[in-house]
Amino acid sequence: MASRSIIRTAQNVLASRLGCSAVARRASRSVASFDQKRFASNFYTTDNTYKVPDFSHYTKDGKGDDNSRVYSYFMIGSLGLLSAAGAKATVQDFLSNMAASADVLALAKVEVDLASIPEGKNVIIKWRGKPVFIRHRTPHEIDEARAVDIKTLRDPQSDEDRVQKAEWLVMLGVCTHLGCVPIGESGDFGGWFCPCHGSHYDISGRIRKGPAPLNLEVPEYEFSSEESLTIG
Amino acid sequence: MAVSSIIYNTFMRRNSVFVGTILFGAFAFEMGFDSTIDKVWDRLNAGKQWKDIKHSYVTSEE
Amino acid sequence: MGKQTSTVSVYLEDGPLLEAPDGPAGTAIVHQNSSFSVEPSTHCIPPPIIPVPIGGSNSAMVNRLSSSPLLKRISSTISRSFSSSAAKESGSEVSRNARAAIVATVATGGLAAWYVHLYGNPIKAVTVAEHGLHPASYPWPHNGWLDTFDHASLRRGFTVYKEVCAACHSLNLVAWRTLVGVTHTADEVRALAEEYEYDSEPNDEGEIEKRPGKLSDYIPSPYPNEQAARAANQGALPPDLSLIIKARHGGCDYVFSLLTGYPDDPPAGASIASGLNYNPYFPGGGIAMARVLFDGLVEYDDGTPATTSQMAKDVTSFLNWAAEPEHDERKKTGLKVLIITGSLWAISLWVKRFKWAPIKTRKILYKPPKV
Repeated sequence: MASRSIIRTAQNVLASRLGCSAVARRASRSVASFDQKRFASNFYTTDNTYKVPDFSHYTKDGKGDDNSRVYSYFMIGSLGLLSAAGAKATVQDFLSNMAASADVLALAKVEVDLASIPEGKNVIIKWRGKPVFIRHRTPHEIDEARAVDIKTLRDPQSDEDRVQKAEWLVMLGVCTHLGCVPIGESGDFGGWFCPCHGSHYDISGRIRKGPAPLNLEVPEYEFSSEESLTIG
Repeated sequence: MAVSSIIYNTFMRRNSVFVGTILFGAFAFEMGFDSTIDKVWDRLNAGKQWKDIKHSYVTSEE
Repeated sequence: MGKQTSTVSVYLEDGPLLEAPDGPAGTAIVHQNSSFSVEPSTHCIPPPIIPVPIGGSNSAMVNRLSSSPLLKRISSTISRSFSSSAAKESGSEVSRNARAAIVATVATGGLAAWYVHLYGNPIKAVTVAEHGLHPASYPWPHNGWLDTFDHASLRRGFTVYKEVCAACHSLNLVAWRTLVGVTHTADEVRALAEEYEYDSEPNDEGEIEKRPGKLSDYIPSPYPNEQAARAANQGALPPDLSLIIKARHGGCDYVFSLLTGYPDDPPAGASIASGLNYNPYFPGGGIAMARVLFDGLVEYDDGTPATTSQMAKDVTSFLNWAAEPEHDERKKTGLKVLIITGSLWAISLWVKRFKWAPIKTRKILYKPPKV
């Protein structure tokens, strides 16, 4: 019912509008004829539309000289430079993510107290799951190791190249043949002997006899102080 | 202008040189930026970081 | 159209609602096919008015909607703004829009108020006291965006942890090596680690011996397992402190308030179960941990007086470091990232304008062919 009454009132409204003033009618007519000529546009201009407008008002002074060109190239170059620096840092971060983490690195080093190893004794410690031989060599053993003519060796290497301090021999206790752990203070050359296939190593850990092709491997190590050794 | 012409002709005339300059500049910028930020950072946090108090423990115990 | 000054009146049930000088363009009058549309009725002949039965069509829907006074108002407003879109705005038109804006604002505000009234105050299951007192906000040295930890404080805090907290609380996620270069030198940490015994790898006989701690070891926990911890603490488990600052609402402020917030006597009316201690900052008020920090409990090696609040501050800072060891580096990287991305943003705005300048200032000409 309400809607019907609205429509009825709306009719009334229109009826009163029909008698709208002559002024309004004239005005609307004039607008109508105006509209038929062209569509209403906010951008209407009486200027000649075939002439290219003068844009010098908008353009920079000194357009086209090296100053302005260098400025533009500098800005664009700066954008590229900052992006490149950011991209480099991002890529670097992602790649360094693949490196060993701090806890792994902390476990990768082993410290050995050398004061507890008497002269002429072997010590086997575990480092990254592998045995490491540390021998406190006597002066006699050092002389013996250095007297060998390295030309006669299967894997020629002088004793000086294998040790940092002559009295401390540090090497991986893994036979280079098939990976057994050699036995210390045995074999034909007073060094190590691998029981698996009979490889003999001398007091510098060099292969002298048997099937092994190479000398015992020397790991990375350093003497962090007089009395301690860091392997790794 | 003379300076801008020199810059333009040296770095920007050839695209390969321009790109090379940008990439090289990125490395140089990163080094300079990092060290600048480090300096600013150390000034902002003067006396609070480990390196500011380290000396009193290193010298006294060794 | 802009020159027209005739008056449109929209009559609804309760008399004239809107009245404004306007073109005869769009009206709120419901007529066929276009209820809200703008009809350039320049001919001044009314469109045919066809009474539409209720439910018949679109316009009937509008009729029905219009029976609500508010919607009537809105719909008139809509058609009004449509009709005036091409017309020059007159003073009273602005006031009409303003009136509409007021109405809309009041309606929105009313709806929001109604919603808040309905759902804004949920019934709380616990009282404020049961929820724990809200800790005050303290000016931590590492509060700011660009502030690192105060490492001298961290060092003192480690002393407090080691001598007080470590009796009951573990710090499982912190390895000795992480203290190096943060609070202690490598030699100091080595000496600290060697004070504790750890299980070694099985020896040749398969037995596990004890060895002194190394840098790669983690700070040992006071109890071998949770059951032992509970048994030693009347059933309460002292939480691991590695991430406690992150794990508690209020973080540093809460832990500091808790450590310093033990009153001498519980307030009147507070009932505390036996074996518990009163602390207003702890949810429920009854905490198994008693007050542990008292003036002069530890001796700092830098000579700082060990007051209760000093120790609480230091150990809280230290625990915050334990929870966020990346804190200092994170803030520094954040500064760098903000500077770089801010510069990139500014330059990219410039480059956008640079690239668009020729597009925005060009003019396309059509040259008609000569016939």
